[in-house]
Amino acid sequence: MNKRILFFVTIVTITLANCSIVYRVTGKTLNSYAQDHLVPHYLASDDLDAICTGGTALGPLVASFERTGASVELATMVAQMGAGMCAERQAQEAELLYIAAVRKGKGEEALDNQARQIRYHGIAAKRYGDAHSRFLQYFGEWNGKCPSISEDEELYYLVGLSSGLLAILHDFASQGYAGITRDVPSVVAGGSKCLDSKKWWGAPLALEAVVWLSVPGATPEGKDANKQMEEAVKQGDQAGVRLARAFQIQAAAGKGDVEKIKKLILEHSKVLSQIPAKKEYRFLEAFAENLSRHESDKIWMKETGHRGPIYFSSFPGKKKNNKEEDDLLKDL
Amino acid sequence: MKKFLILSVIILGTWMSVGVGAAETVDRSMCVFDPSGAHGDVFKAAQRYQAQALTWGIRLDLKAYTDEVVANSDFKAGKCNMAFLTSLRVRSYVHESGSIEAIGALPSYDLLRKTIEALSNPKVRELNTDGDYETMAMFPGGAVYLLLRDKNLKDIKDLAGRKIATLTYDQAATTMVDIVGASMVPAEIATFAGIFNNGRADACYSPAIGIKPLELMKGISPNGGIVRFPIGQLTFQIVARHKDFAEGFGNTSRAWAATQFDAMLSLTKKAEQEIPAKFWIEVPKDLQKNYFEKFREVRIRLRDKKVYHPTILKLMKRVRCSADKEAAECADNLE
Repeated sequence: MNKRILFFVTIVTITLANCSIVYRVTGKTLNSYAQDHLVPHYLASDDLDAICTGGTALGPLVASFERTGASVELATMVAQMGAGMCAERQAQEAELLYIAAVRKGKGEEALDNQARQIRYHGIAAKRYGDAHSRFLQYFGEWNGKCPSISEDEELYYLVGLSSGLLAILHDFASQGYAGITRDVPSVVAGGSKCLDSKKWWGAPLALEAVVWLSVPGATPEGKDANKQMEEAVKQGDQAGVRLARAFQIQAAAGKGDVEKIKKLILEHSKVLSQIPAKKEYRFLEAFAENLSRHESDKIWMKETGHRGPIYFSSFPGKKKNNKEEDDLLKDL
Repeated sequence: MKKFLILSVIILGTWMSVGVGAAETVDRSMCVFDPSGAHGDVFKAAQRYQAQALTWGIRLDLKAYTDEVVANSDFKAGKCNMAFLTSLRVRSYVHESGSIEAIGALPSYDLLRKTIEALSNPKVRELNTDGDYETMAMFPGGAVYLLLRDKNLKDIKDLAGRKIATLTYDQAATTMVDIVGASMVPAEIATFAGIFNNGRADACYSPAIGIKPLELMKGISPNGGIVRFPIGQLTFQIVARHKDFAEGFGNTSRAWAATQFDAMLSLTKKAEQEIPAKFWIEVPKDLQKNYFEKFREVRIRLRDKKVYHPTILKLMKRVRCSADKEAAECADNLE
């Protein structure tokens, strides 16, 4: 009888041990598959909806492999970044409906959409915040010194920093609902120095500048955030990855300078038709375009009650050069 | 009784306000020519116009036509209040606005934009009206380029003695063929691509947006190309009988249409970008002069034949000279 029990216990133990090994191996495989194939595939796609839905759906599955002891930080980080984008898009939609309701003078509708907007900003902040935590888990807490980053890891480092910035911006917009720690901006600004800005299409310079522009008193003496942003944008334009433009517009939107926002949006639209996007990073291009389109739609919605052109190439009531036109039409 | 009276007043008030609301929107119709019918880009633009017109109190019923001749004759017969046609057709209603496509007059989209914006200025409403008709909107349709089977023909002088597939009803093109000493291969929109691709013509002309769908690359490959010098600017225009619309409608409509310039041009620009660089034939500055001079000769001849309206040619010359004050033509008074 004892022998039988011993046999049974042995079988169960072996099976359990095997399962845990299988799970861990699967987790590792999944992680390296995500790094080698899934993320590059994501980045080359300009379908924001597919990526955000994919991130939301697959994120928990990928993250669950952590329980088996597998290291899945990078794969989870990217999935959570995509999931954050879903909430961000819903916040944008609610914001447009809020503006439309204000225009129509519908108070209840406006308040409800504003409430929705705040909630979605909160969800976006949590998801981006989670992505940023995975980044810290993988690369280590920021201690003022750059960690050793292999060439393959540089892109993930940039994604991690970006998610931190987005987390804090959305947390501000959600009235602090997600509780993102307020030292994230200094991590983003410090960490951005660990990457070669030219190699990464100006994004590191832009990240640092946007922190300076968003956090009062963060700009070091002798530095000009706007100038640095311009430089970053130039690098991004040349590379065909306009992520820096997205950050520039975010910073301008934060300041509420409508004329500047309009100017930046029109510049973005123009450059898109002049310099083709880099195929491997079309996702980041689509992300940046979406931000410009949203800022353009906000202006259109406020001024006309509807969204603007898909290529965000014009604004209502643009003032023309009347003097020049008068000359052209004289005595006709 | 008092209650009944109040109720009657409320009902009457409600009915009146509904009545007034309904009276504010009037029903009108538009015949729309789009080679792809209701699925095409022009029809989509007409739908944007339809939505916008609602905000001006006009509910438009749209009817798609894949044949411009039919769309045009239905409009002429009064079957619709307005029509979305190419400028070539609009010219027979509004001589002025239909002359904007004049051959070689606007060599860039910036110049076309300036001209359309200037014509949308309320001060020059009369340049958009002619008798009973008024041009309510102008949209860019893309630059028309010369396509060659042999890229060595890049100077316009080289076209002498060559065969060009030409739309028979396009007076500008037939005059051009005549002036350069080429011979005409009569063609229709439906046939010119085949004529060019089969080698029955050495050259043809088309906007970039037609190149892929009509497989014109077959005619260009392997030795030909597309001359990067716009022969003319295709435009789509909305023409209407102005008595069918409220006073001031035209000004409002044209001003809005001018803001749609970039949106209308986006597909054209994409089509131009998609053409592989090796197929573009860049025309050196000195040869560009030859093109320009020939085009000018055609414009003047067609103006004298009353095909192009002199005022619009004058306006377009001013637009060109505002961009390049040093150009030789700015010193003379021919246009």
